Amino acid sequence: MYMENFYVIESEDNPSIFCDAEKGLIEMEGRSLPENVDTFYNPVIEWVREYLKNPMPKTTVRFGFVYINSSSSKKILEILMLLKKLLPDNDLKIIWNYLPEDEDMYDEGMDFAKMTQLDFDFKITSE
Amino acid sequence: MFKKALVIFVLLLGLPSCIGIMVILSNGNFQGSDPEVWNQHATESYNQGNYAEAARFYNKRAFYFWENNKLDEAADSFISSVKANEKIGNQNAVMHIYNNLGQIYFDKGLYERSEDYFLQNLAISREQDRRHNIASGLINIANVRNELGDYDAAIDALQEAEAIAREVNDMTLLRNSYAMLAQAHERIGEDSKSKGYFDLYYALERKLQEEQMQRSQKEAKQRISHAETKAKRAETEKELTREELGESEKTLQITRQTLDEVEEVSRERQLQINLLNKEKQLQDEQLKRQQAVRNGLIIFGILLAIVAALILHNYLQKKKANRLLSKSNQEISEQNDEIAKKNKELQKTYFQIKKQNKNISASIAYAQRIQQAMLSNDQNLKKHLPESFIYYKPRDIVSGDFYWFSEVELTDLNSSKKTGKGLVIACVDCTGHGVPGAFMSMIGINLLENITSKGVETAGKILEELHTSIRKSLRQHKNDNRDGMELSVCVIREEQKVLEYAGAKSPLFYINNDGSHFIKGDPAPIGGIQPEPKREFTNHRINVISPTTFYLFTDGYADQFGGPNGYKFSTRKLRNLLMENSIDRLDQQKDVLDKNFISWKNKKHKQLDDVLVMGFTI
Repeated sequence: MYMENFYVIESEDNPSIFCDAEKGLIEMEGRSLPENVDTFYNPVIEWVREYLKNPMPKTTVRFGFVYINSSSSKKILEILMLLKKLLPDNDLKIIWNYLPEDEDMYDEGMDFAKMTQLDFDFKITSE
Repeated sequence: MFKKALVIFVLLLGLPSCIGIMVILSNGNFQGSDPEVWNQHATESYNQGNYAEAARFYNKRAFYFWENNKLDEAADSFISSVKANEKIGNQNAVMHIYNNLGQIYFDKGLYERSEDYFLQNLAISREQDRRHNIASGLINIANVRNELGDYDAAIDALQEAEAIAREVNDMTLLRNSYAMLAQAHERIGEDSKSKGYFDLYYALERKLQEEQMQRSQKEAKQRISHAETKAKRAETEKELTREELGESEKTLQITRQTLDEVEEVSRERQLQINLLNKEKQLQDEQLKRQQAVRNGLIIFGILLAIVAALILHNYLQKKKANRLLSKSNQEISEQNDEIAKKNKELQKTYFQIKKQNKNISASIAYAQRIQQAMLSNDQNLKKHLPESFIYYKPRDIVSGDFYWFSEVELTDLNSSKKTGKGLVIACVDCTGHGVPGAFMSMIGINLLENITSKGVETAGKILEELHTSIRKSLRQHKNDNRDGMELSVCVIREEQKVLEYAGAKSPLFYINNDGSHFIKGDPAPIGGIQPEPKREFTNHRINVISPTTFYLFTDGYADQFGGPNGYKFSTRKLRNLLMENSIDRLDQQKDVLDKNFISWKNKKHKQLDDVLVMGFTI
């Protein structure tokens, strides 16, 4: 079954999003403070739901956030909880990129890891 | 003209014959001058059975080498030639070649071989009974034998030679025989015999010389008389030629006269021709002039036609352009009308939007008043906590961040008995900012009022109740609403000198005599999805022994982009900033926070989120 890629170009208020079903890849990068989190994140959530119906054996999720406001944070948590359903039948790898010295983003990642009980691979983004 | 033609004619006649001569020459020379090519040719000829040709070229090669003193090669070629000549039975040639070979080996000093060839030569001479050859051959043999020191044999040969020479009356041969006999006898010591032969030789030699002289004189005389006859004949020929010349001259004169006449005639003709030519030229020019006039007229006509066509075309074009112009004018005016209409519409829309904006702004401004009314001001907080500040800086007019504090009844965790009064302080960041944030803050304030009005057990319990209440009031278990808040709650139990803290994704920072302390809070927010069965928040108890300043803040301050590189300010920097200024009065600290925020944000960056920082000292 063919699934179209989903992508959003980065702006001042929203991150770039790139979802590739064939590669089992989901990437989000940048700032997240969209005016309306629902209109921004619901299509991603829809895509993930669709993907879960026919996922790749291995799925890689890479986050490279610089800023997440509290509403976005809730949507990301929801996406992560959806992706958690891939386990244990499929492989799920979550990479959390953060800028050097951005402890706040590291903490944010840690919070997600704790909340979801998923393994996060923390990696400093080299600029 | 005539002469030239003649010369060319002669040349034409002569040329083929010249070519013919050249062909003959090259034919004769076709083997070139390379003796090896001759040899090759000879060998080929021999193999093809053409022995005469083979012999000819072997000889040619032999003589060439002999002349160049290459005796071995010469001998080889002669031997080859002998074979070829024998094939065709040319004994005469063979005889001569044997003689040549004898000579060559004699010159090389190979006397035995030389003698051998001379003997073979002699044999053929004898066979053919050539007396002269026999005699000269014998002399050659004697000569060789002399060199071999075989004088007796030499003498034998010479005696036979002498006899033959006398027989054929060849004085030269005889003389040579005598000379050699004298020499041979001298060698073997027979001096008297030698002398006898020498005398004979001498006498004969003188006689021969005399005869030679006489012959020479006779020849000279003959030559003179011959020359005289020739001279006489030449004289006669000369006279004859002179007569011939005279005749030729006459003919020439006649010819010249005829030529003159002819020239005269041709000159007249030329004149006539010239005249005719001139007439013709005149006629041509006239014709040309006429043509020029005609052409001019034609060109003029064409030009006239073109000009006319151009004018017509221009006229039509203009007419068309005018038509188009009027049409486009019409269109433009139509468009103008359209634009004007659109403009009017736009203006209308603009005013509408302006009006709407004004209305919205007005309503938000009014909403702000409501929000402000609901938020107690920091003066109120000062009533409870004299050393305190609230740095509150909404991004928009209304805010998603809010602070809340209230005096509450404290209840015992186990017995639910009231244990006294306490102060609850909350620093809240609602999801969203602006109007939606403000809505959430209204809900938040209401819920906090409700939860605490029943009495407060712990800070953690406040958060837990808040979470369930939000989920319930927003029906989040039924829909996909994920709104909620992140907040820090403090409960001050003054009597027990205790501060309780619980954080939903929101920290507590405090500074006392021991230094600074940071509690991150729990990772779970208030509201939104709840993966775990029950959401619980950690309740931190802090004993306040010495004066301690507590700080609560939402993420707006730390997350603000700015500075020299456009980075986030960060929680760490905020903590450091608070630490650096912790000795100051809290009002001053608020000023520092504000100044720092404005300078960090600078003009390049807009405020990202609502900002709220609270501080108080117990």
